[in-house]
Parts: sequence; C-alpha cells; structure tokens
Amino acid sequence: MLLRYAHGKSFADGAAEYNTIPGYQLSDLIVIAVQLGDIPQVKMTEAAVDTSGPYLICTREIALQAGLKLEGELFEVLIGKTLVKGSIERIGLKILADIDKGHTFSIVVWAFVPERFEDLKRGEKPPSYLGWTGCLDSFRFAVDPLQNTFYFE
Amino acid sequence: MQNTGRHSYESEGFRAHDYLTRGDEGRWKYKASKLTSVLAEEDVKWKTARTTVTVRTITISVAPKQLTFDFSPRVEEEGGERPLTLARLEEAANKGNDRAFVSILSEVQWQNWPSSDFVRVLKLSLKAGAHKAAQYIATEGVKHHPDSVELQRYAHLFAPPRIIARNLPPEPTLAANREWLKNHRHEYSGLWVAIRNGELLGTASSLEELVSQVGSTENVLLTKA
Repeated sequence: MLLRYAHGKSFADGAAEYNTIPGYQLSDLIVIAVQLGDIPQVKMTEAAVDTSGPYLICTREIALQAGLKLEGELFEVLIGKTLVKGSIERIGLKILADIDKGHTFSIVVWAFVPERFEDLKRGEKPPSYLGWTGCLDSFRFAVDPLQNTFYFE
Repeated sequence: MQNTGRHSYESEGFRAHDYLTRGDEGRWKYKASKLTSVLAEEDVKWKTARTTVTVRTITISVAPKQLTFDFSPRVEEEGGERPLTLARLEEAANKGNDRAFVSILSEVQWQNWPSSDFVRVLKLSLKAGAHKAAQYIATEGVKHHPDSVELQRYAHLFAPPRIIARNLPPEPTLAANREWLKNHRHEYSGLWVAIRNGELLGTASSLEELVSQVGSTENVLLTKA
C-alpha cells in the first residue's frame, strides 16, 4: 500500500523494500536498488540513503560505467568533516519500485565522484550514496523501518 | 557725590552750582547749570555696574549616524569592501564553517563584482560545505555576467535537480536480487558481483573486469559484496 495524504492525494507513487548492510561504524545502512546514467550506459547498482551528506556520491568505477566522462575540473568539496577532491557532474538516477509497489521514478541529480573514494572513509559497500543536497532534497521520500520499506514520489 | 533729594541746599551738587555761578565771568555757569540741572531734574538712581560679555552662539546640526557593529579593520581599496568580503569568505571556507560562510554571503552586494570573483566564491562555498550556496552564486553570476561561458557552465552544473519521469514501470527482479544478497553477500566479500533476477552471473575484483565478463548489463545488478 502506497502513502497518501488524508485528502487522498498521493504522497509516494513508488516503494521498494531495502536491505541493510552493517556499516563501518557498526551502523546499518538503508540500501536500495537504483539505476545510474542514461541509456545505453545505464547501470543498476545499490545505493545507501544518507541524509547527512550532500550529492549522489559514487565510486569512479560505477560513474565511468554509467557514462560519466570525469574529464572536467576537480573541486575541493567538504563532505562531513573531510575535504575531498573530486568531480561534480549531473547524472540520471532512477529509484526502482518493487513489482507490487507502484512506479519507478526518474530524476537528474548532482553527482560527486571522489578522486579517491577511500578519502570518504565509508568503504565501498555499497558503491553509491544518495545524499541530501542536490539529490534527496528534490523529491518526497519516507522510510518505514518496521516494514524495511523506502517510499518515494 | 552723595545722593540727596531734589532742591536741597544741603547737597554738594547744589553748593557747587551756587559757587560756580557766582564766578565773575560766569564761565562755569552753563556747565554747572547743566550739571546741577541734571542732578536736580533727574531722579538719579545708583545703578549696579555690570560686566557685559558677548557670547557668540554657534549651532551645529548633525544627522545621527548609525554605527556598524563591525569592528574589523576596514580596508579601503579599489573595489570597495569586496577584498575584505572575499577574505572573510575565504576564512570561513578554510575553517569549513558553512554557517559563517552563508551568513557573510547573504550580505554581499554583487554589483560590480567581476566574473572571476563569482567563480572564486563558488569554489569557496564547496570548500565550506555550503553546497546549496553554489547554486545561488552560479545563478547570481550569470545574472550579472550573462556572456560568461564559465559561469554559464556552473549555472548548468548546479541547476536544481530535474524530474525526468514518473509512473515508469517497476523492476520485477528486485526482490530476488535482495534475497540472494541477504543469503550470499558474505561469501564474496570485497568482490564485485553481477546478479540477474536472483542469479549470480559473475564476480571480479574490478567493475570493468566484471562488465566485460558479463557482456550485456541489461537488468543486471552490479554491486560490491
């Protein structure tokens, strides 16, 4: 059952169950399946929901496979308390819905691809993160931890 | 001379008049008469001697001036306060203080700022962790320098995320892939794995190697175990 407002209008048109992966700080991450990039180079992978950080952040490997060139200038970007050098580009993102849970949703967001992913001290599981600024702050979403379900616009 | 009443012979003034007017030539007559007539005719009153001081008053009208609370030294250079503002923004960025950065940024008057400074401030915003501000700075930059190719590029890069499509078909393989990962991820820890509809297609130490191994990646989940 998808989420609706009291007056019946839809809050979320899609939903997907998520796995959790023990993170490097013994905290579970909410990990959903997404597609990155545009046809014909679109790639399905996993992404962790991370409202504490900015951008969609992914490894160079997945970014290149998804069709990003990563040939532009490098920016010094503060992620958390760490200054990290990397590329900023726009990337297509599809939030995939489970078969019985509404519709998939497609958006172009800001992607930050660090020169060295290990500088973020997050590990590469999963290989991408959905951050707040420039990504999650652009659509409605909700989490039901009792049903391990991620709802989205 | 003692002050006495009028017409009194006892007064010195009257006696002086009397003496002077009896003189042979009478040359004192007018003067004496004048003197005594003044004394006789007037109610002479003693007056208090006063010292008069003339004070020149100068009135100065000054409109009250609102003082600022900025006690930092003001640097007046070419470009007005822009160099000082840039220095403050740089300081906030170097400290990773996004709140201070945004606070300073909100006071900036962008008129007469060269395009190079917009670029500089945009990069400082990323360094400060004020990521949303990059969008604002790029927008303002293009507004003031519509012909700047560099600022146009940044404005495009930091344009708001754009919804492409809703109501797209769901992905039927998600549940099977989740189940495989829950049961088998630990067996391939550290490797890239390719899974289609709950079935492992391949593993490799790099994604490039895995993709070349798998071939078509349509409907294939590629992730690190």
